[in-house]
Amino acid sequence: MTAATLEADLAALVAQASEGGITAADALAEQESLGLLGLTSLGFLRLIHAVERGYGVALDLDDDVSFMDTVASLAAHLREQGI
Amino acid sequence: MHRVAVRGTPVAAAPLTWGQHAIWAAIGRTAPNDHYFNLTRVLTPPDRCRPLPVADASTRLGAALSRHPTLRTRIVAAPKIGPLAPGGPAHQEILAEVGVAVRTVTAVDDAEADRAADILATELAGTAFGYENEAPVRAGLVLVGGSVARVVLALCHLATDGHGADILLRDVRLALLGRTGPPPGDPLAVATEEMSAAGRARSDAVIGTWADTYRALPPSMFTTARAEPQPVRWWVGRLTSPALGLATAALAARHRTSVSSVLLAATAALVAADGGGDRAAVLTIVGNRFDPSRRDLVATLSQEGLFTLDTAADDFAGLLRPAWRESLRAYRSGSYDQAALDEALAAVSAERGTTVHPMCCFNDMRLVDLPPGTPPTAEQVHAARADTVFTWAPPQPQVACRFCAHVTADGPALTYQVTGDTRYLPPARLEAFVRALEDLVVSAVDGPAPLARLRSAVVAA
Repeated sequence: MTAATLEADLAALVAQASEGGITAADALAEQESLGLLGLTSLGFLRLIHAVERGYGVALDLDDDVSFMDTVASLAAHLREQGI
Repeated sequence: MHRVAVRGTPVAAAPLTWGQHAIWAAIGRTAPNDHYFNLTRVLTPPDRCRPLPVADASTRLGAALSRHPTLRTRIVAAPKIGPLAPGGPAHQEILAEVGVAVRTVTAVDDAEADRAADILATELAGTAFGYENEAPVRAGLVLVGGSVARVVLALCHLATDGHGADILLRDVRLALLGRTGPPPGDPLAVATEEMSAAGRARSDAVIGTWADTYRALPPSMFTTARAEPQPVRWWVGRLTSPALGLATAALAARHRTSVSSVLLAATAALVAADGGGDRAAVLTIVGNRFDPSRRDLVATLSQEGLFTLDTAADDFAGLLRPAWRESLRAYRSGSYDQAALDEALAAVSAERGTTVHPMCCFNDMRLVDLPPGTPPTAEQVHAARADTVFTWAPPQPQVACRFCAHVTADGPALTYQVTGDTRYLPPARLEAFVRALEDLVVSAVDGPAPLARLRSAVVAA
């Protein structure tokens, strides 16, 4: 999957997880934390659920979860898992 | 009093869903005070449908209720078992039709209608539902000048959880406007998924995590009996604080976490300090609506998740990122076969030779987490401090827990309510707990908030 496609797809999942509260463009542009855009705990969990279903991966929350901070960090984490 | 018919396709008796089983067991532990679990909601009809005659409101209410099969749920004794007992072996079935009792009261004007609605809601929810023979909804209408000014609902927790109640309220509002909401989803799919091989495997994995964690936890939080219990034993202390709302928002933004996890971190720090330790376990209520197919279900999907936190840090800020990670894990640990979990945890208690149960729970009932916009400043937090109010709500005679925190929002203010067992948390200590929690979170906005001082804050009470 090309870089642009993965990031764009994840940004769309963020928009869905936020139930329209966050646009995909804003999600893509956020450099610090999706929480700062208003993504709630429920939103993060929807996002985790959607990513796991969509990409067939298990996101390990046992250690550092900073990979969930931004679309870029999540994309990097998924690439490490071979996506 | 009149009745509204709620109709739909019947479904034959089947085992309780996991969420229903959890509530049914809690009802068994709490009876005869089990009306504690009833939910209430009050709706003001939109201006566009007013004046609203009683007959129209009743018809539209019946239509809204009929969209949700769980509102025709009846609990029955499991096959080959004697009479139904709260918390005992039970099945559920969905009837073709139930009659929902609708009470009407009158108020002189719209302002008075609010008060009348609150009183009616309390009355409607004031007794346990007849699980075998009563519809799981009671309704009321507050009339002003002969027209409906408020719609009041009391709901049985076996039919829906709090999020489902909010979805139902949205549907009732739309029905009053002559519209219908999005398709509510199929609650039967929940039961099917739970019984599937994939559902069982997910449940087994979650239960394994709980059991491993229980093997290493302190047996309980709040283990020291500190006083003779009050005559009505469980006291309810309620802190309403705009400063707490602003401070949690500021910290959540600063540390890239959520308001919910900031409150969980503070709760865990105080719980650990109360017991003199540095590890806390808190059962969190998990909504289990992460999948889009479950989002709009009026059903009991919520179950307890397991949140644990090592609180051995110098500064409260050091707990916030770990609490964020642990809260995500906790919210993923809240969907499982409740009976199988109970069995697994009982086995852990037997292994350890002592009952292991946190006796400590946390329920964030807000619908929105971090308020949008620029994070509040320290000055705004401190300016709001004068508006903090602590009150006692009516006590409860029986609650199967020693510490139950409920978080709700009222504009920028947060209400942090604790229902505490006065044997372990006497009133002064309970009040000191919630005030120390506010102090901790507010002071952390300014800079380091040493956790060492928590113990003295709680112990001093």
